[in-house]
Amino acid sequence: MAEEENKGQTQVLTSIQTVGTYQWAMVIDADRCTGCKACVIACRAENNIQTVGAEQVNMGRLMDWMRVDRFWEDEFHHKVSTGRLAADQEATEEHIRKEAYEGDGFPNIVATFVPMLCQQCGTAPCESVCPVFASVHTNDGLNAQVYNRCVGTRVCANNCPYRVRILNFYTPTWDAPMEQMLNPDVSVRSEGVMEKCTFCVQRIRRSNLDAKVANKPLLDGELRSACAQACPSGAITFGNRNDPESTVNVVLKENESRSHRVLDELFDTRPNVIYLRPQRVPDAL
Amino acid sequence: MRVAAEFEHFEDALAAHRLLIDENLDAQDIEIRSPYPLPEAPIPPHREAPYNMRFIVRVMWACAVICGWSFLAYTQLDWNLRTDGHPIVSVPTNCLIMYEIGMITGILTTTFLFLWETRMFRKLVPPLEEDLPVANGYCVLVIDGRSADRAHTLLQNRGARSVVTYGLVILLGLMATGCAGNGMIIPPGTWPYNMREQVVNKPGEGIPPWTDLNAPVGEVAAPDTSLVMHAHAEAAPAPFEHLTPGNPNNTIADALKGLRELDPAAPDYQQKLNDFRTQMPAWLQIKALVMSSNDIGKPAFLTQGKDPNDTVDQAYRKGLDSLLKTQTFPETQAPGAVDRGKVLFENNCAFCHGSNGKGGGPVGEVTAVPPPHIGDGNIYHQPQYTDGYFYLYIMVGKNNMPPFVDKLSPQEIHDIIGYLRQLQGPR
Amino acid sequence: MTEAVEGRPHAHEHINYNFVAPDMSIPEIYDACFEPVGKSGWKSNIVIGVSLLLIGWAFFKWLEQNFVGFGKTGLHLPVFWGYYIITFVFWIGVAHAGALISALLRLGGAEWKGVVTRVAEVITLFTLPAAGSFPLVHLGRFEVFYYMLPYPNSRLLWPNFKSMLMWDVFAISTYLTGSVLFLYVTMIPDLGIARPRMKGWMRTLYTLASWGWRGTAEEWKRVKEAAALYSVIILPVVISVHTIVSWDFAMEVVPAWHSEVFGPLFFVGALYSGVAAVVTMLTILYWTYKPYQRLITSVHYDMLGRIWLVLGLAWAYLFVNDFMPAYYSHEPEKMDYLWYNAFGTYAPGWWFLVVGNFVCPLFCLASKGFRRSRLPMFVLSIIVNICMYLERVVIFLPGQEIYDHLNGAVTHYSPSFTEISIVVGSFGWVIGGLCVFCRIFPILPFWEVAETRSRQIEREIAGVKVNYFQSGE
Repeated sequence: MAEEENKGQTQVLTSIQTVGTYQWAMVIDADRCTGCKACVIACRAENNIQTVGAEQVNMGRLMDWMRVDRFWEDEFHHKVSTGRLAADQEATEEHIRKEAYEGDGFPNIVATFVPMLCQQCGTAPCESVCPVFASVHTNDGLNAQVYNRCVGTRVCANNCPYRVRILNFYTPTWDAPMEQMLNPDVSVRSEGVMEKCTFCVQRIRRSNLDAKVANKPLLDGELRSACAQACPSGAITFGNRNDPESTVNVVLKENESRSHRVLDELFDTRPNVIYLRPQRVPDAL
Repeated sequence: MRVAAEFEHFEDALAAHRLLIDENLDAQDIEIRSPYPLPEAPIPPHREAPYNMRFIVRVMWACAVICGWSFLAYTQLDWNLRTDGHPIVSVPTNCLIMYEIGMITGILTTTFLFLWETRMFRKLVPPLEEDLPVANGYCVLVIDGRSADRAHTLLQNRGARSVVTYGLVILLGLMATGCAGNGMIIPPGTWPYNMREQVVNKPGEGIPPWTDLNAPVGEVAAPDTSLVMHAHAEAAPAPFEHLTPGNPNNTIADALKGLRELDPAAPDYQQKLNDFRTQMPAWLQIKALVMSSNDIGKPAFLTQGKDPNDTVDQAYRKGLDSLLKTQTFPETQAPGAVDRGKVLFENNCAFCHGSNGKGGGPVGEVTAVPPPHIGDGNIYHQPQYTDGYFYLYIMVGKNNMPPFVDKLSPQEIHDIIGYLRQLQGPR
Repeated sequence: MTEAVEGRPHAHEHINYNFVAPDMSIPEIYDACFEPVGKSGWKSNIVIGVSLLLIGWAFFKWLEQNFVGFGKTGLHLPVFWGYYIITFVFWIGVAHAGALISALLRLGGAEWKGVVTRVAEVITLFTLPAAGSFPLVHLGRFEVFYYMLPYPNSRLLWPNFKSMLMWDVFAISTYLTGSVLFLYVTMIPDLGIARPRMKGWMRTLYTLASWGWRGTAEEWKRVKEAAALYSVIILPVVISVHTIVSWDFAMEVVPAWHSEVFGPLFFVGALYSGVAAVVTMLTILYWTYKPYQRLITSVHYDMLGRIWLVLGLAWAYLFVNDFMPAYYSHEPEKMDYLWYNAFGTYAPGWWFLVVGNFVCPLFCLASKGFRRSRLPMFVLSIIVNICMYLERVVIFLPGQEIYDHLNGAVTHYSPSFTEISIVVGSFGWVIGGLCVFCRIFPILPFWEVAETRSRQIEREIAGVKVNYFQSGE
């Protein structure tokens, strides 16, 4: 049943039209994700993301390029999940609390974690609306953000259905010894520009150049994004979609029936991040 | 030199304008200025300026649209930075940019053409000292250049007053402070047009001496003084001596002066009157007669109800009123009048008004302003279209219609009116 | 009688006018129109002073925002467009009164337009720069705003013409240019007429600005032609501008915004608030300057009220239409947005908007007695403008606050002191600017009023009978 449903989409996935030698992609297995947020920390360390402090975070200005969305799976939540009102949220939390602490035994609740980052869309909504071409597409399938060109209209953030674009509200600062840990390969963004996940483009470029110097092709496994490198359960796989032997393609082929792309059916964004559905069935628990 | 005369009502300014045109003043030198838009139709054109704002704006708009398309095509097709995939907005929506470019081009073109066409013959920005009494809410007739002095005399003869000496004092005082010609308010004259007059003297230009006032237009002498107005009234040339038959430079002022000089008690009075009638063009005769203060040689309708104490203009107004109020001339009912009038009408009038007076004449078909259907009883049986009305305008002409007073005798005009009445049918 | 036949070309016109000008001579009209020009009073000095203080404070806060950081605003994820954009749309809406009303009345040949046209255009003159400044204030990096201009830079990198923000740049600059030139060219006759009466620097200003206007027949012909051309060009520009502004939102994937009805809804709403602004301004002028009281009659209120009523009906239809298809198709995200508006954080504002913006005006404006009374119309115009501001708030903020396709989070946004300061500063700019304009230039167009009056004098002389509306108080 699930296979039939997914058949159309998997065909789209496997027949993706590619340009050039490399087409960078990521596969995230929701079954393997434990929600530990090691990927988030690794991303912060790799990409010089500023730490804004509790006050700013409470205002909703967390600068992380990656977040881990949490979905509750139970009968009650499915009933109310169409609503987006604060009252629904509170009801859900109340229900969870009740199940967990007042029910008999282990709560009948399952959480699914979905790491959410820039999907590097093949047809990105953010690209067409930027008035100054600060958001452009590269030949290896990345959705690049040109910090120097950005004027900060934030229209791209409004037009991103995944809400993964973040504005630098202040010029980032680091306390005295902390600036020593900044990654020299990554520029520090200034105040007023948008930023987002780059698929660790500095690693991609470095690996490309190394391979070129060594005069050999860039092999699979030589290059991993920071989050993929940090993930303890191996939920994140990063690689070249154009290489049929790459880990990404192997994992994808093994789990073809589970693969899907988030919100693609709504907006036709064709993301380069592919998720694998959880195999758990609530009834089995 | 420039003469500016103020009128409280547009019609009066227009009447004075016509008078000056009739006196062969150059239409290029006369313009009407007004503090609010005037109806355009009755104003004779001041300058023949090309007028094609609408067309040029359309052309510029089309050019801008084409250029906008090319620009968009260039910027979006001819560079290699990829914004991959399809946007949520399709390319034809880009015509918005092109549309706005076209619109702004239209707006700028309109502004440019407006400034260009209104400034075409003048300096870009006027001098600070140029001053006109338009702000008082009156129409102003401005006569520039060589016609100004003659116009000044004509207007003065019709009752306008000017206080040039006071004006000069103020003028000199203001010229010393650098803003010449500031606000001269002149008391209104006795002329029913309620006309005011103002002389603005531009630096470097003066007024020709009064002795050349009646010279033909081409021979204006060097500037001398601006006190010409008072001097002029004192010394008048001998009557008729400088008038030659058919000379277009004969002025109504000359005719009037000559007529005033005539003394009924003089022995050669009859001889002089005959000279006047033979030497002057007929239309000048009529006007001089209408405007003259004595009753010599006037038709009966001009002397009806005349008070000897009337001024020139009162007499004129009364005469015209009595003429226009004459419902029926008995001469038009005379036997044979209609038959003679038919021949005369077809020879003189049918080219424009058509053989039945309802249009269709070969000339009337092509004139810019179509001639009125004078044979139409539905219109011309209204009470304001009296026999006197037709008589007056056949004599002196109206709008594009030429005067017929030197072509038709009074009897012939009466015959034509009789025929017209028959064309119009019974009341 | 002869004069009537001979000299007045309007005598035989078929006339169907419905407005009778006040019984004043042309010089009287001149004196009335130019009464406040070149004078100052302590009241207007106070208004201008307060406005300057507000503008200065807003400028200071704007500098602070640029140097300290954009975090001085209250924006946060996912609310990226806040009160700057709301105020931008509000001012754009008010600015729509000017060109549209004057262009429509000019093209339609309405005789009562005289008093209204320039008031409307001057409102545009000041609100449009206020509106245009907000997208710049709203930029994260103002210092590089010129990246959005289409100039050939060293790498031949043009701006993205597919972006609706670029359409905005073009549309607003076109509209600003057009409305300023429209106002200026139709003001040239007044400047030229008043030039000899001005003194000192005002005389120099009027001389230079009137561009040699003399009032000849040809100049009148051309200025009328230019005004007609501007009217024809400005009308589609007006329609395009606010439609494009609405596409800033409708082209995005935010569910509450992604709606086809936004174009007409914004356009009609803009006109609705624009007419309200004209009514407010006319009433303030009426109360401030005594000579204007003969020129601003209840007929103007009646006519504006009719336009207002029609726009209000159209706006109400479109506003309801924004939700109706969503309701019938059970589109969940749009319905969430509706319920959030009706019962969420913004419920008081939303219900005030519903009552004040179409229930109340539609009933009031349907009454002729209400339309002709000054104070109620003034109060209603203030209410409608507040409601139109609220409308922008409840369209933009809830749409972003409940917008999350993935985890259904709801956030709340409230403006910071910086945002409030700059928004209030824009109000100071508009009010102070109008005040200064009234003191330097005639806010009521002398020549248009005089033209109407002179035509009617001619008609009276010619004995043409016209069915006038009563203009009595």
